[in-house]
This record gives sequence, structure tokens and C-alpha cells, in this order.
Amino acid sequence: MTIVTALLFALVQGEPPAPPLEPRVAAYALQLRDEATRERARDRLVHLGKPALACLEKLEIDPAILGSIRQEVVFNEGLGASYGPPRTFSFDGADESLGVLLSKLESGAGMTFQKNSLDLSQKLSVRLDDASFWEALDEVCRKAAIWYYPATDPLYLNGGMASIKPRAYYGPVMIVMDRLIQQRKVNFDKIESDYLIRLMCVWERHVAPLGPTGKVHLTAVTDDKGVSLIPAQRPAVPLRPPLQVRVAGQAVDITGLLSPSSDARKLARVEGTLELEFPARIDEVRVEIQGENPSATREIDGAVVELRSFAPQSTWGAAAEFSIRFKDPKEVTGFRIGATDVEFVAPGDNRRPGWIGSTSKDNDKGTFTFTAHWRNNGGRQDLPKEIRLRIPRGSVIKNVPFCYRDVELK
Amino acid sequence: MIGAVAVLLLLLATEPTKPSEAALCGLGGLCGQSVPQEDKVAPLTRDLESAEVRKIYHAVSDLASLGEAALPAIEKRAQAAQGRTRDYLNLAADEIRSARLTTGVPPLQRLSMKSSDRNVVELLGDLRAKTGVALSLENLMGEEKLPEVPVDVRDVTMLEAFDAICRAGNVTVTMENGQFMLYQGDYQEMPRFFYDHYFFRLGNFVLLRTVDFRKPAVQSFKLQMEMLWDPAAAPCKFNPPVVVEALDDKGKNLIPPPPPPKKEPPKPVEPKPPGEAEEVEAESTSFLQLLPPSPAAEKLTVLRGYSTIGLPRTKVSLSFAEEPKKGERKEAAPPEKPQDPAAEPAPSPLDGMQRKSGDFTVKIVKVESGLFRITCEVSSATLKVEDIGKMPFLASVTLKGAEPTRSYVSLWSMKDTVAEVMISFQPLHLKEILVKAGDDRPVPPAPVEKIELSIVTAVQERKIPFEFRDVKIK
Repeated sequence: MTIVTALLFALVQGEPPAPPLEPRVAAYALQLRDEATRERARDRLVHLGKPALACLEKLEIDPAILGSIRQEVVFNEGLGASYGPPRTFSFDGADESLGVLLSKLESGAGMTFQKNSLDLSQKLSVRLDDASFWEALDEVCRKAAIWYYPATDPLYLNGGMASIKPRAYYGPVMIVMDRLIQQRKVNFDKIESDYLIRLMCVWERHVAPLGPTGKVHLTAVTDDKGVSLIPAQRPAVPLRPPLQVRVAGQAVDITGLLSPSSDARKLARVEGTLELEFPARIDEVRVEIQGENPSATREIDGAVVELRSFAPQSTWGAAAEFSIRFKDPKEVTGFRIGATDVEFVAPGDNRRPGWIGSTSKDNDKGTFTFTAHWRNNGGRQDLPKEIRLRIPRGSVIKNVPFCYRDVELK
Repeated sequence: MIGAVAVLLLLLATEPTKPSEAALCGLGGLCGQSVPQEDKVAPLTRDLESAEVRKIYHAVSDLASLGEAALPAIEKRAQAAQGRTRDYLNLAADEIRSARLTTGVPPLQRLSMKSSDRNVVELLGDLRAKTGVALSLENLMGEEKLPEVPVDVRDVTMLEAFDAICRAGNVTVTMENGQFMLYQGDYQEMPRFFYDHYFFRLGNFVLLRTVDFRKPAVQSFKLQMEMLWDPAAAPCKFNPPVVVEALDDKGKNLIPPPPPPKKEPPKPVEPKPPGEAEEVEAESTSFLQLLPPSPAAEKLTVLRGYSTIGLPRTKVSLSFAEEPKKGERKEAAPPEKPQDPAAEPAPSPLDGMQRKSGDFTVKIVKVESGLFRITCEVSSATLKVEDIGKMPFLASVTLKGAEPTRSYVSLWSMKDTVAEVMISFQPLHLKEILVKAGDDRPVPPAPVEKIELSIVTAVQERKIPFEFRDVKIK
């Protein structure tokens, strides 16, 4: 009862008003001077966007840093609705129940957690200032000993031990160092050695990239003996063909590295950028569902979208089959569709994202076909009257920086 | 004293040398000459302490070939022996015990070959003529003239000779569906071990160290090992290999400790009928999981173990051949007209033929000579179709003119009461000269003359040893 009251109270209160922009920008500008805080301050200034840029330009800061921030702000603006600043959270360190903290994160990020075996009434003291969603969630999980795998939708929070995988945060993106694999393969005619760093890239729900390209640009990988693991000539790694479905998070392997020194205990620094691919633009298509066997065709720039069928599937939902025929067949090669690209609108403006059941593509004809499923909330519910599609078109690469220090090799 | 020596010499001179004779002596107890058996076992036992692996396993093989009569002497020595020697003696004793329980596995023969003026195709042709091994040389027959390669092997098994020829002629050997596949070039020097009708080779080893930030870094050391065999002694089933000794050159024991016992009480195990082997759990290529070697180790001084295979113990065989019609005079066949490859092949007289033996009924559904396959239906009066599907099958296909083939059987589908099995075969062209035809026209398929399908109703387990010494790992 106490928890429910607390939750309701927190929800009624809503999010506190954002602090005034100018002092925030000034504080971050000050932090740019300190190496320990520079990266995070730059991240925040970039993601405060154009209004902060105007404030920043009035302050005395390194012109090179200002130039790079300006460039990135403009770039991010160009990504449109596919990208946006991180949802930020501030907690003042006062005792708060886990249930309240998690519900604040849920409402702030627009997502629901699946909570397994958690004592939601336990009191925690969390102090955070302008933390991104992933930073805030990790801090709460660390304090409450909660483990979660970041690449699922919804996120499943499990009681136990908080993950100690190294993490890099940048805006709405988090890059987790998932594992390090040192392999030595002797084929009796030749020896193959490889050192692999597996990263996992995830993003907040309001961000909708096509996914990582798999390419990583490394600036430093050194062990604690000062040895660089980047070979003079790193072999080109064949890229994996992109998935046909945009998923919540994806792993990226950094291969072809040298092994650390035999007596190394840590990776002193792993730094670089990871390519995250975004659509150059989004074409929106709305299809009204009429009749028992609805079908419809919509023409957009360079493509034709066809609803081939929409059929109820027993009592739990319905399935819609779409086909997108691109005028330029090459466009189908890298095309991906995700659950957030399909929205079913039921009577009463009840909106619900779909989930992608199956996909197929015909590279010769330039056709991409997919099935999107709608699932009702349980019980009797009217079928959707409209389906809204967001068709990602083209591709823009955003380089997301990451930096890990003192990664234990034990 | 002199008389006793003379009697002993006489007994030695009359000692049966063939395993079958030895077995008779042992079974009947007629010979009862324990002293001569002991005299035969003793020198071979000394060979088991040799530093040369090949000599050791030849001695094991020779001990096993002494047969049942030598079993008490071998068992007695095994009790007194220690370490590896004891293991080798126990292996020889196991070999003697399992030999009488297998069927259809030919006895091992050793051979010698010496040549300096023949090419690899001719040498392999000689080998299959000498041993009857089912080898198809088609892949090696190119238009260019093959170089002559020197080969000199003495007192070796068929597989040792085969490998020596392939090595000299730079031929890659792989095994697919229980049959050897030969390809020109790329022979790789991999550690090899030969025993009886079997040989093992190590493909590679992988040393893996994984940090996943959840638990202490995990190191694993895996060796890939492949087992190959003479198709005449093909295993029906495999169990995962077991390593009994693995040491690096720093003296580290690489055998992983046994897993901790599970907390759950063990489930009661139903006793298996005698002769019934474990379910298939492994394939011919497997990975040996060991502890990682010492950081400074440069080689594995010894890697020893065994792989348990299943060989046919009892089987039901059914033969299908065209029967000459009664009263029909056999006339000389008219000269054959060249067959149009595009034409629909004539149906085989074996199509639809049905045979029954014991509980089993086998029907030849279709013989497709052009596709080198035969579809059969197997049913049983007592077994469910799922149980038939689990049974190993063997097949022998003979083409017109008694031309032999190599063949394998795979389960194709299971219908209501019948298991559909597919026999795939490849002509060996033993009667043709070892030169590829000059024109590119495909050779018309020869009609199938005789099919023998065997259903293995029980298998006998047999431990096949492997031992590698001084395997370089750096």
C-alpha cells in the first residue's frame, strides 16, 4: 500500500521543472577545463542542443572545442526525429524507495521495466546530477544489486549482483564492454592469434538508429605495461550483412588486435568511436483499415508501399503484411524495419507499436516484405483502424565516442 | 633338462599362430600350453615399454591377435603391471574379448610397399587391389601427367600405407559419410596416430581466454581430433573420446578435474539389454577439452586416451537380385547401344522387390542408377518406426558385371509404419584403367545388379586407443 501511494505521489508530482539553461551551460563550460570532467561536459553541452550553443558562444572557451561542439549540434539536428538528447535524471541523495526510483526512470524514459524478484520497498540514497537514463539506471542497479541485460525490450531487472561490465555513456547511447576474448589457434601448419573486444551498443527508446555498421575507429588500446594492442596494419574485417530488423541493441566485435603483455593485469585505455547508422530521412505512411480484407497502396518518393493483407489472428491480435517496392533496387540492400517503425492505432487513439514477425527481401526486384503483428491488451478489444509506418530512407553515419580506463583482465 | 627344452621347443614349433586357432585352443582347453603363451606374451609386453608409439601399438595389436588362449596370461601380466603398460595390456585383453562379439569386421593385415616409378593414382590403385579398400580415384585423374613418387613402407596397416602414399603424392584425404574423399594437393602435416583399421589426426588446437566481467577470467584449451577408418570397419556409433593422460613439457597435468557432483539425487537408470550401446553422442570429429598448458610449455609430451565406437554385433541382412526366370535360356546379350543421357532411364527390375527376414521387411521402392541412389522402405512386425530409425544400416551395392561400389545409408523419412532409407553409392571403376576418359561425356550409369541391406540389431562397443607424443603447441 505504501509503495502504491508513493508511486502515485511520484507520478502526480511529475518531473521537476528543468533548471535554467544558462547556469547549467556555464557549469559545464567550467568543467571543460578539467580533463577528468571534459568528456562528460562536452557530451552534455552537445546534447543540450542549439539553445545551449547560443549560451556557450558567449563564454570564453577553447575555440577548437567550441567548433567541434557546434559541428556536432548541427549534425545531430540533421538526424531529425531519429536522434535526440538523452532523458536526464537528477536525484538529491534523499532516501527513496526502489519502486519510486524505478518508476521515475520508467516515466522519464517512456518505457516499462520487467521487475523480477525485487524488493521495491527498500530505501536507497542516490545522488545524481543531470545523469542520462543509462547512467541513472546503472546507479540505481548498483545500489540495489540489480542485474539487467541492456539489449532487451522491455528491460528485465533481476535481483542479484549488479553488472560490472565496463560502460561508456554518450548522450542517449551506452556502449558496454561485454567481453574480451584472447584466442590462439594452432593449425600445425600456421598459427593464428586474435584478441577480440566485444562491445554492445544500446540506446534510449526515443532514439531510432538503423544500428551499428560494425566499424570501429580506434585511437588507443593499451595495456597497463604501456603496450599498444593496435597492430601496425590491422586486417580489414568483413562486415556482417545488416539484419533485416532494427533491434534494441547490437554487439560489435573489434577483432585483429594484438594480445596484451603476458604480465598485464589491466587494459589501461580503450578509446575510439563506433559507427552508428541513422536514416537520412523518415517517410511517413498512414493506411486506414477498411473492410474485411483490406489492401491499400501508397506511393512515396522512390517507393511504393502496399498493405497486402490484414487479418485477425485468433483473439490475441492481428497481423499485417506489407511490401515496399523501391524504384532503385539497390535501396533494398541495406533496408531495415523495426518495431518502432510500425504503429497500430485502435479506436480512441489507442496507439501501440507493432512487432516484426518476418521479413524477406528480393534484391533483384527491390522489394522488401514484412509482417507486423498487433497484440491487444487482453480481453475484448477493437481491431486497429489505422496503421502508421515510418519508412527509414538513406543512411547517415554518426560516430559515437567511447573510452574505457583500467579494465581488469582477471 | 635337455629333454624338457626339447619338449618346449616342440611345443613352440606347434603353437598355433592364427587367432582362430588360438581361440580354439583357449576355448577347448585342449592345448593348455600356458608356458608357450606366456613366452609369446612376454616379449610383446616388453615392447609395450618402448619409447616408440608405433612399436607399442603394434605390440598391443599383436597381443590381441594371440586370441583367447593368451587372455589369461595377458590378464595376469596386467594385474602385475602399472601405469601405461597396464593400460596397454588391459586394452589388448579388451580387444580379445570384443573380437568374438563383432561381426563383419575383417581381420587386420599388414603390408609392405616399395616403389619409385609409379604415380599416386597407380600406387593407390595398387593399394586397393591388395587390400580391397573402397577408394574412388576419380578426383585424382586429371589430364596432366602425374609425377612419379617414391614410397617405401614395411609392415604397416592399410591406413598407414594409404597415408604414406597420400603424403608422397600430396593428396588431401577427408572422410564424408564414412567414405574417403581424395583431392589433389594440400596434404597437411598434422599429428597422426594409427591403430588397426582406424586413424586419428589432430586438426588444430585453440587456447581461449575470456574475460566477461561476471566471474574470474576463464581459460580453455581445446584440441580438435578427427577419426578416420577403413570403410570395411566403419563404426555404427561414436561416443565422445576420453583422455586418460595429458602432460605438457613442464609436467603439468592437463586433464580437467571431474565436475562437482550434482546436488540433485541421481535418477534411476534403466538397465540396458546386453550389447546395447549408449546413444550417439559424438561425431567422428570431436574436441578434447583440456586444462590450458603452462605458459612456458612448448609441447604436449603425451596425449593418450581412447574413443569408444560401436561395431555391428548382430545384424539382419536382406539381398535383392534379379532372379532368372524359370525355363528361360540365357542367351548372349546383344551389344549395348550407347545410351542417350537425356533419355528416361528404364525402370530397374529390382524396383518394388520385397524381402522379409525375421521381424523386418524391406522393400526396394526405386532404384535411380543415374542419381546413384536407391530408396528403400523398412518396416518391422515388432518395432515402432522411431526405433527402426535409430538403428544403424549398412549396404552393399553391386553393379552390372559384378562392379563393386562404395555406399552409405541414411535415414530419409519416417512414415506411419515404415522408415524410408536412402542408399547412396558410387562406382569404384575397379575394372577400368586408371586414366580419365578423354572426352567430357559422362559415363552412362551402370544398372544395379545386387543390393544387400543390413540392419544392425545390436552393437558391440570397442575402445579405439589414441596416443600422440611431443605435439608442438608453439
